[in-house]
Amino acid sequence: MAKETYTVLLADDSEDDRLLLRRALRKKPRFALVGEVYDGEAAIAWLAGQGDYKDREKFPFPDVLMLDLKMPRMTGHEVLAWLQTRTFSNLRVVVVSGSFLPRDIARSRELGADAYFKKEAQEEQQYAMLSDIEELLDHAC
Amino acid sequence: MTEPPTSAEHAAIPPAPAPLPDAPGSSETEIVLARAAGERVNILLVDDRPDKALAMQTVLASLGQNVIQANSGKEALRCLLEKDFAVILLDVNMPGLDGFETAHLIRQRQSTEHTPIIFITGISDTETHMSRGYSLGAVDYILTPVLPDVLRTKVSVFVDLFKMNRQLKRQAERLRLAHDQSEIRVQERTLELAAANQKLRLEIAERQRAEENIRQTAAALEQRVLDRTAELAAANQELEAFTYSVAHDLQAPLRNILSYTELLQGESASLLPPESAQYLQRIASRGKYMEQLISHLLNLSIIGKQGLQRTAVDLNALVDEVVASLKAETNGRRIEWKTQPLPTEECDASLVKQVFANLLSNAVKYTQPRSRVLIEVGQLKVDGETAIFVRDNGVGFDMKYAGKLFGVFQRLHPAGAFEGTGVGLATVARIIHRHGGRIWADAVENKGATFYFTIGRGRVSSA
Repeated sequence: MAKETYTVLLADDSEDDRLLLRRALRKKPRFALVGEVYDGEAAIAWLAGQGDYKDREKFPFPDVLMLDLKMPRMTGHEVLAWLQTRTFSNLRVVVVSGSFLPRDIARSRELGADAYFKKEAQEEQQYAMLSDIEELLDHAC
Repeated sequence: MTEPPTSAEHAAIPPAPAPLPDAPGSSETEIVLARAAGERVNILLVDDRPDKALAMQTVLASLGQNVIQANSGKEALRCLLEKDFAVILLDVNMPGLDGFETAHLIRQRQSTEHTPIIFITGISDTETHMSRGYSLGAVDYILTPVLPDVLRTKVSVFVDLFKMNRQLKRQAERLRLAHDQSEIRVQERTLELAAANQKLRLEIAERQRAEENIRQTAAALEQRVLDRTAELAAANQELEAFTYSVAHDLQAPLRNILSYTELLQGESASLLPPESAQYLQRIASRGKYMEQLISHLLNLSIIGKQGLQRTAVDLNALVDEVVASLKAETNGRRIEWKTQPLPTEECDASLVKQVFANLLSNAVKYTQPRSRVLIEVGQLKVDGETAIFVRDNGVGFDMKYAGKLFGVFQRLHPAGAFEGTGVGLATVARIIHRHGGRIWADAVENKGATFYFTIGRGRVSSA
């Protein structure tokens, strides 16, 4: 069911990509960026509410996880695989990756990703991506 | 062969024989035989009474042979040791060894075993002597008093016989010699043949060895070709993998550069002097070009990595899709699209769609300068195969450079004249080759270009 604002957890090891996505999210008032993690392990810990991320006030459970694929320690695909062992019914996962290899796309879908987006340089295209994610969240049940 | 003489005297003289057919020097034989015929033979006359002996000698003289006289049996035996005799005239009545005893002794010697002996005896003793004589191996008798003709005739018989024998022996000797000689010749020839045979055998062995060598070399070469091919295929794959990973790794930082460039352009536009703004713009545009290039390279390298998924594809549908999206892009322009019906082919739909997309967008690109554009798609038979063609009436290219068309980064027009990374056709070529097909092009500068390709059945290994 549609919400007024959606909280976003961003998982990406690239400082630049995080910076640029942060800027893009600022242009979308319906998105509230609640946190950034740099690898798959941290993403899982946050979602599980374990370790450093026990405090749900500081580290709230997000509405949508924007997940990069190529990350150290644990990759995006591994995070997806872990997620399949849990039932977080309110969590949407969208993969945002530099790769547009069909096999990466296929694997992500197999592992339960809700959408797959290629990282774009142009602001216009980033904005379009966020609009698509917005729509996805609005129509999710 | 000469006629045998009719005279009784010479009845026994054999005609001169024809030369031996294969005997060496047949004329030589004739001479020898003639000489043999003329050669004197020895006649032994054994009688103790000189007057009798003399009388017989006289008679025998006309025979023209050698008459040797012996006075006794003993002397006769001695003579017989020294010579060969054609006939022995032996007096029966002799003191000491008589004729019979002498004959007995003569007969005992191997050399004179068969020498004809004619006994000379008186008429009165005939009956007793004759039987004894014959049993001793006498061949004839002559009765005294001797009739000259009878004596001559009887003796000449044995003379001729002896001569004949001698001739025959000599002939046989000659024959044997000739035979030996031809035997020797045969042996020589046989040896030559054996030697030649041996040589031949050695040559054959040598040749076989050489052939074996060649075969082994060919097999080794084949193996090396196989090895090199495998190496090449592996190297190619490594190159593709490398291209892919490089292209892939270049994408992310480039993307970031472009993003920051865009941000700068947006936010700092007012702060920057116009020149700096221009530089930023150039950075952005070159960066975008790089992005395209990397993307095309990635695409190109991926073709190698992915397997071919062949299905029955209706090519018309593919072309329609591509044309539809191109029509949207080229809204302002007047382009006539002529598409003939195309066959259904076993191929990878997405890859072949890329082929059409690339060729058709090239056609659109290179017909930019034209006011009236005609782009055709169709099929034709080439060498019994079905080939698809894409034809345009654009700027074409110089056929001189046809070989460079499908190389990576090859551009036949100055950069900037027509957009493009120079990778598109290389990608198309790779896709076609993966299918086992061929691709080639035909063009006339300022008239247009036609690109042909076939979709093969077999898969070509990484190339």
